[in-house]
Amino acid sequence: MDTNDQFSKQVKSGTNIQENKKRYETLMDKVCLMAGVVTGILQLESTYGFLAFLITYLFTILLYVIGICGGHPGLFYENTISDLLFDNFTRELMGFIMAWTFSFALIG
Amino acid sequence: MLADLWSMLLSGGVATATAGAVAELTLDPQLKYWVLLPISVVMILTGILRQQVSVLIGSGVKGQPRVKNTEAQYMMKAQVLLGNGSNISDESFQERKEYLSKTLASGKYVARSKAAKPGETVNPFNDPGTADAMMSMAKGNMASFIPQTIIMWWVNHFFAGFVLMKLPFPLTLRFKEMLQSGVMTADLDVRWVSAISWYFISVLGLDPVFNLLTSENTDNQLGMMQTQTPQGTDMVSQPAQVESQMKALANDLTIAQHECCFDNVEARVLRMYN
Repeated sequence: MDTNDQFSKQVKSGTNIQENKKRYETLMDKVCLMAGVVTGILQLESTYGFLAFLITYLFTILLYVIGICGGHPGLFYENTISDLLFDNFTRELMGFIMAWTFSFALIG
Repeated sequence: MLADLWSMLLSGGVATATAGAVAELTLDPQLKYWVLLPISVVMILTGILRQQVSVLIGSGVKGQPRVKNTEAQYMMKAQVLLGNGSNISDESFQERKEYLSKTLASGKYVARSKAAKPGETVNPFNDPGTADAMMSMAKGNMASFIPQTIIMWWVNHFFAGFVLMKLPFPLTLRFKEMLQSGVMTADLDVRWVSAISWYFISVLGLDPVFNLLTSENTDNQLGMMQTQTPQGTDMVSQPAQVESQMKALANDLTIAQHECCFDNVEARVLRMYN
């Protein structure tokens, strides 16, 4: 069947994908900084703190994919896994550690 | 239990493992208000200032000679035709293809400066555009590392020699030298750190904070980036190179196969709604 398949593919707007990434990054920044502050206030140490980060991070992704992307993140991002899971990981971890250390020292 | 095991693993050395329980220090609460908060505030304000300064010293939209624009736009036109040609009908594509390949191959719109003879290469460092680009890059670098150096010196100078805070996570002994600089105790656990380590943690972790504080400017930045990208291609603009690029484009155009998106469009629409 020669229905030239290259024209059946969906074309995604690069500008919109950039914008979506930016929105996601800002949301993650907020969530992870707040999670860090909360972890510090709760005086969680070492493993428990990092576990709190991992749980927050993964849970937020889950909620984002289900709630905001409506279960179809592929519509809004090009490489869903790397865009949502890996790209911001180090950045958010560092932000979390900073907020955690800060509130841990202030409260403790 | 798990946490203890983890900390033993991380701290690695036999010395801390045998020491068992970590010694608790009592810190003056005034340290938080007169060291921890000031360093944080200064770092955040410096970061914001740096962003504003980099906007100020950043080069705005620069004009360029009309011939340069014509040259760049003709090349872009060819690339766009190659990329999106499938959206126009066959006759239109053939017409554009013929015209563009002829024009590009003849080198009609290559921007030649009057001083340079054909075939002679111009020193790229004499080009004011390149010099400007390099200058703005250097200025950007300066704007980022001068404040860092100054704050580091400030923290090291004013807040050295005492333990400021306890980190909520254990670190290996290797960090001791860096994070406990100025604290002359050989056996103190690495978790008790001096002011410079708060500086390091802030440097690494403040990116999200800056993003939240300056998020209203990001729309502008995105737009600015888009308008500036075409100028970035002008870094190498030797007439000879441009001419050969144009010839290559003309070749690509002449051998380009056209496939219109309206071919078999009925079949695709029917399949979509089937």
